[in-house]
Amino acid sequence: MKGVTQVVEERDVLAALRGVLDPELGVNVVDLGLIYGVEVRDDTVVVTMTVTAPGCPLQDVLPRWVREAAERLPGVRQARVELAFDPPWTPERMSAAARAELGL
Amino acid sequence: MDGHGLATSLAPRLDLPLRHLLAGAAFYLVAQVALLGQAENLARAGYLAWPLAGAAHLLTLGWATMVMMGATLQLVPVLLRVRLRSEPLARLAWWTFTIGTALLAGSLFAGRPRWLGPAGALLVSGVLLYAANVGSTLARAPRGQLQRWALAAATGFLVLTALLGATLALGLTGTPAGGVAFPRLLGAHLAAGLLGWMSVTVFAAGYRLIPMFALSHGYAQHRQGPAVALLVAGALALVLYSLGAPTAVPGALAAAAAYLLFGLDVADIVRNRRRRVLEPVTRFTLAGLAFALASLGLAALAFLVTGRPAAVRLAFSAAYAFLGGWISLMVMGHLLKIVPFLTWLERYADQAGDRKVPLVRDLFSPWLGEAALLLTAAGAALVAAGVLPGLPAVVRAGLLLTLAGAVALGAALLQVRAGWRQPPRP
Repeated sequence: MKGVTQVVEERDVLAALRGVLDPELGVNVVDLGLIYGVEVRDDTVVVTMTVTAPGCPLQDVLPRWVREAAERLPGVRQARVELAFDPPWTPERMSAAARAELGL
Repeated sequence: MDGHGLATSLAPRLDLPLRHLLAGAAFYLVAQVALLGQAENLARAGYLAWPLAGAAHLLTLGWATMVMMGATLQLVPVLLRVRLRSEPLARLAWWTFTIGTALLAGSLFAGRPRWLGPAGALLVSGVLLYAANVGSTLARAPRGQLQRWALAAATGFLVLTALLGATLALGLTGTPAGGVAFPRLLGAHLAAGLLGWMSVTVFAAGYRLIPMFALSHGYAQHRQGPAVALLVAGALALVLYSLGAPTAVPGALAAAAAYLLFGLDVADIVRNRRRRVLEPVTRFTLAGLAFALASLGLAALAFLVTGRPAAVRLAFSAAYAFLGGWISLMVMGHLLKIVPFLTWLERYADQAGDRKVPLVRDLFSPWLGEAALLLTAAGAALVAAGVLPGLPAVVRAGLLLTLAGAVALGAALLQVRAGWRQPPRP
């Protein structure tokens, strides 16, 4: 609506990121435990994330997809993704749904 | 994003690795067709037969080396976070290497040594261009990762293998090869190629890719460096032994120890995997490792037995188990993982997030991958076994199974490239 600023919350961002699938595993980045943090500063979103292993072939494309998914949210002007390897990702970070999907 | 769908900001355009991987699969199919008529030569361990040498080079150069080059060009930038020195140079190297391989294999198969000169010149040029490109890329990569020095050593062995091969070719065309006897040069060529180039590359790539695909965590990593170092030292010692140095025993022991450590590492990776079901790369690796161990045992027996005919048969069987079993299964497993992945990136990377987009595993039928594994393993086992007593019928049956495995691999890759998809998920 014109003149009304839409407020984006962390849960909105996480819901959007559930649409970003790891094409190899078939599980979204949130349930995989790749998202370390989401920070909303007015109309800017900063996502801190990791990949399953340093040197993963998706290391550059997954952050781009995450950024694009966040920027598609109404009220978000800009999204930034920071890649972190500390702490390293472990399978224990996966949600129960992801574990079930992967047969763990 | 451009139409070729860049995999990552550092990786080369996808057509570069893909052309290596697909050309490798095509060479593999041609090699299996060519080998089908060589059952008699294989059964009598006739390693000096021209057509057999042609088919062997289709396997070593066209298949294994081509795929390893393509995988290295994709993996080095992604794993080591460094841009490839020159993509145009890599494309030029591919053309030179591909034409050189086809010419060399063709001239050997047809028994026309006169073509060996131009074929060898093209082939060595292709290898040198590739090595210069990868070598200068590795030199700029951050230090500290095992893959950096392991792949540098492997590339050095590739150059050595090509130069020894060129020297052998000079001998076949009537040019003196520096006074070194043909069998000695051949031994050095094989040790440098099979152990120095192929095995070191497989170790370096496998140590990163096998745990990544199996989702392994907490596995032991302290043996990886020693395993690769032992393999490099063993390969070098066996090359020197072939050329006349008294380094056979330390070389063989170092190479055997390296394989033992690699086997222990793979077992640990498998034990610590989070995926309950063994995924394809792990299954191909485990089947391949059985061939590697059998090959080591046969090679040790060849070293210990008295009597040249028995030693030649054992060594020949060991070489087939190594190349047709271990190396081919490892290459195949990774090919069936990397080609669908790169194809997915090429076609769907821009549509990520769309639920209608297939997953990587939806791009081909898993049954074809399983068929390729079973047929190749059964075929390689039959050929290696048939060589020992010299039974052409057993060797021929093995070659037929291996050809069927190559057809299954080709069909799987065709499915991927032709846009076939598994039925949509609910």
